[in-house]
Amino acid sequence: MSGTKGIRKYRNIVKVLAFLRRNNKVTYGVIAYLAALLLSAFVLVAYSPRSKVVGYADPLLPPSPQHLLGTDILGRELLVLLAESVINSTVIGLIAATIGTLAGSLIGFLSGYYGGKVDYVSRLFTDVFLSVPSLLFLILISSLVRAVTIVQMGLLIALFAWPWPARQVRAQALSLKEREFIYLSELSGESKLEIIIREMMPHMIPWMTANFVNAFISAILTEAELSILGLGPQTEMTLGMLLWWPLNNAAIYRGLWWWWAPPLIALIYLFFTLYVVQLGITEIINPRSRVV
Amino acid sequence: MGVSGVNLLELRGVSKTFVSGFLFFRRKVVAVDKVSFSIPGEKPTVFVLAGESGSGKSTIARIILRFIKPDEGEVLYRGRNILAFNSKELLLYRREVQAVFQDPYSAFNPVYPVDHILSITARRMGVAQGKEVDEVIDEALVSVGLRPEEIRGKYPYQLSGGQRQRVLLARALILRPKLIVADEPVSMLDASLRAEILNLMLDLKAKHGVSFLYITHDLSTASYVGDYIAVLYKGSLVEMGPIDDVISSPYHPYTQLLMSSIPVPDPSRRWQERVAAPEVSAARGPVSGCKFYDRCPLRKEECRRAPPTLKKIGNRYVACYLY
Amino acid sequence: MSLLLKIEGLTVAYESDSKRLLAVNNVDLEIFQGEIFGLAGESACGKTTLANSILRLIKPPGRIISGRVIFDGVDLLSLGEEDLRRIRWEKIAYIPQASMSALNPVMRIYDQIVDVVRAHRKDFPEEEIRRRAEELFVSVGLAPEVLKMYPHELSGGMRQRVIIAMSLFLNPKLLIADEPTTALDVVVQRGILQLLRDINKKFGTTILLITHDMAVHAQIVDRLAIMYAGKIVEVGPVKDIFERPLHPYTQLLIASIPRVGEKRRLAGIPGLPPDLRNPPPGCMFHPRCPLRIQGKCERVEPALRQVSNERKVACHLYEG
Repeated sequence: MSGTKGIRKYRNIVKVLAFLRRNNKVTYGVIAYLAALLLSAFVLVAYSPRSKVVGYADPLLPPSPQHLLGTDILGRELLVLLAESVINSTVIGLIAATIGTLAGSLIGFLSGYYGGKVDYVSRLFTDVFLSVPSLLFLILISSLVRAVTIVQMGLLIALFAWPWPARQVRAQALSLKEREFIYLSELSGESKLEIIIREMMPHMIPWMTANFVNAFISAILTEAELSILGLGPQTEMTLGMLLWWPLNNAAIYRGLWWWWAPPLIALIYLFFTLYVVQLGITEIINPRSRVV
Repeated sequence: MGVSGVNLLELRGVSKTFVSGFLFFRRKVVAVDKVSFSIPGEKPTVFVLAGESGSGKSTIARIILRFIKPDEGEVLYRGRNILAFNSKELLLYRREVQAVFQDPYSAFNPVYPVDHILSITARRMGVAQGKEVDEVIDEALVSVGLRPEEIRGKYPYQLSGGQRQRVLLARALILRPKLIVADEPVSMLDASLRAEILNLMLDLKAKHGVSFLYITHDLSTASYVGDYIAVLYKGSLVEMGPIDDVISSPYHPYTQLLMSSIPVPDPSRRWQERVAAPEVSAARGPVSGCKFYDRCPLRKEECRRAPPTLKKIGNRYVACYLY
Repeated sequence: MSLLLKIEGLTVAYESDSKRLLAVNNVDLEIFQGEIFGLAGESACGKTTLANSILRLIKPPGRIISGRVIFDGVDLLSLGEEDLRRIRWEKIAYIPQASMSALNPVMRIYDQIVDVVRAHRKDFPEEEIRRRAEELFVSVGLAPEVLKMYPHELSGGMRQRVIIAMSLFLNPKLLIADEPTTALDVVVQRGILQLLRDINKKFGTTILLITHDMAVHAQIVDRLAIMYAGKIVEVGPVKDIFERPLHPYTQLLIASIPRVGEKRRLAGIPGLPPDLRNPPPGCMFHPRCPLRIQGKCERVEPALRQVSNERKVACHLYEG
């Protein structure tokens, strides 16, 4: 019945669109974030790379029509630096959130699904990683490593991003395992692997998405925290690094507001958009608002 | 009970104990205690497994469906031990022995339309491939009295409880099973819907030769569809026999208690005496002697010493010192 | 017999998006002091919504649109919050569905009773609480030692008895029980139902028993009302209704109950209950009714009318 299949695909698209429209928070939050990214990309394309070079312009110039956000202490165009750091911070956030969520979900799922010793060991690890003060440990680790790249920062933060998804997905797996439709699927001839992928995954995706957004927010903030303390990637610009420079040069005391205020505002903006997305996803997961 | 020929399904001395907690808080619950019965194979039968919650009936269902393994005893399907099946034999077994459960909503994965489980059953169990699958599904839906146009593509929440239960029966029928294990299939349905599902079961037995293991605590529906009945109490079989006989004159005191507790839908026949049986607390340790001792109005000293064995009396079996 | 509860024209709607459905549709009901009144009907007929609305427990998206609930001469729907709260549990006790699972699992039974009492009467003396609790437990057939236990140590039947005892604490005039025995085994069920009958005889408590199980009604209640799609379709003494059901729905409902020992073919009710978002015109039951009058039943909604001394039916078959 290919006719029905075609109609089904169309129905699916309509459903997704209606879904996005109903869940304003998710849509608007994502759009707002993407807008910031797009703007940053635009700036990077519009300005020549020389504007990032030391000595491009006079240092510590306040905002003006030639230098929209002014310059920093090394004479670099702050607008360009800001655009670059938005993108770099996003990359770090993405790496940390993706690896953390995927690894954590895998560990959590195996733990909940198989139980027994596997569960015991992984729960031990998860609980340890959850209970230690992650920031302090990150500080410790990154102070031992001399220089970090963007990617390495992402991996570092991922180290503490995986336990929470692990715990959540484990709980999901535990409860899903016993659901009656799983028994019925087994009775109907589905193999264990098929059951995991086809029957259980759709239930875990919303949780994994929520965990991803969570991890993303947390990663961006953690990066800022580490970089402000001087443990960030010194050679590349991130939002945290863009705050480290002015703080290290007494910018507040010297009244150089254009140096520290824009990155701070950018950070708050990104955080806020992601927070709205998170609210939206939480609403979706909450059973009361779910139709299915 | 299975005098000649090979029995369809036979349980021999099946026991299962569940252990929960750990270290000092270990709790052992004997869910099934040396239960034996057989479903005859000569003609389609509705065999009722009756008991209250905690009687072990659902555990027996899961053992028969090979979701859990018994600690003791054998389960024979047409004379062959199901616990020794390899994966190919298990697949064949699952084609002949299927199930319908109590909650018609949670039996479906809410993320997919109800066709999903139907097509998986048809394809994964080797009944049909490709284009044939749709035909097979439609045929099964029709045989349970549903119209395919009304059911295909619908999500579980869009159907009524009765419709969902029918779809689940259709799923089982796709495989043309010999035995359907039905665990409380109508208890979550409204009274007016129960009749249609029960009638459907009788029709399937008559027209398609399907036997049923009907598991329930509701003796009214049991007497409507059943041929034989086995009554369970706290994991042990207490009485077994042709259902009309057992129900009209129960031998075991527990069966008598069950029968007298059924609310009769007739205001002129109301309960007269109080239920003498005292409440039983939830936590019970291992018990020596007859499990029904505490609540039995006809108990004697010897009932405490050792559990009674199943004895054949006339056309039935009873486990009670009164006989 | 004096009138204890009189419901007039009660209508409760659920509104979502732009759709509205009437879960309770212009319901009139009378419950007399000292009787056990049964409310029957299948799922989604509105009986739980009706019970909830008596004590104004309807939450959005549900809303009481119109009607009066006159209890002991006072319209509960127009009472202030403070007065209403004093009526809840003290004059009208409500045992909602699955309430035996609502016991706090980490508190002892006695402590939970103290909690509830204190929430309603801050100054109830401690010894009084204990004395009354023990007294009530004995009357519901529980040993006083149960007070010291935790809910998980009790069986389902015992928990339900605890709930019943708690609900009787302040000697309410009306006890509303919604599906009090649905999750219980048949032997335990009998015990609980007989307990309710005893309470009614001993304390004179009026009981509104809500269940879909017609056999339970047959055994326990004095008068019975049948609900379908938010409307009351028949009311009368339980014996009359079973012997001579008037409304076609009642007839089919009673015919669909399996009776032990009877082997005649059970009749179900063809079709499905109506979608309340798009209710059928005229009589709610006409699409499924084997006795519908062509030309009338699908156009005009029958009103609930008195057809004899104690019987009311909403059906065109009985109009003049």
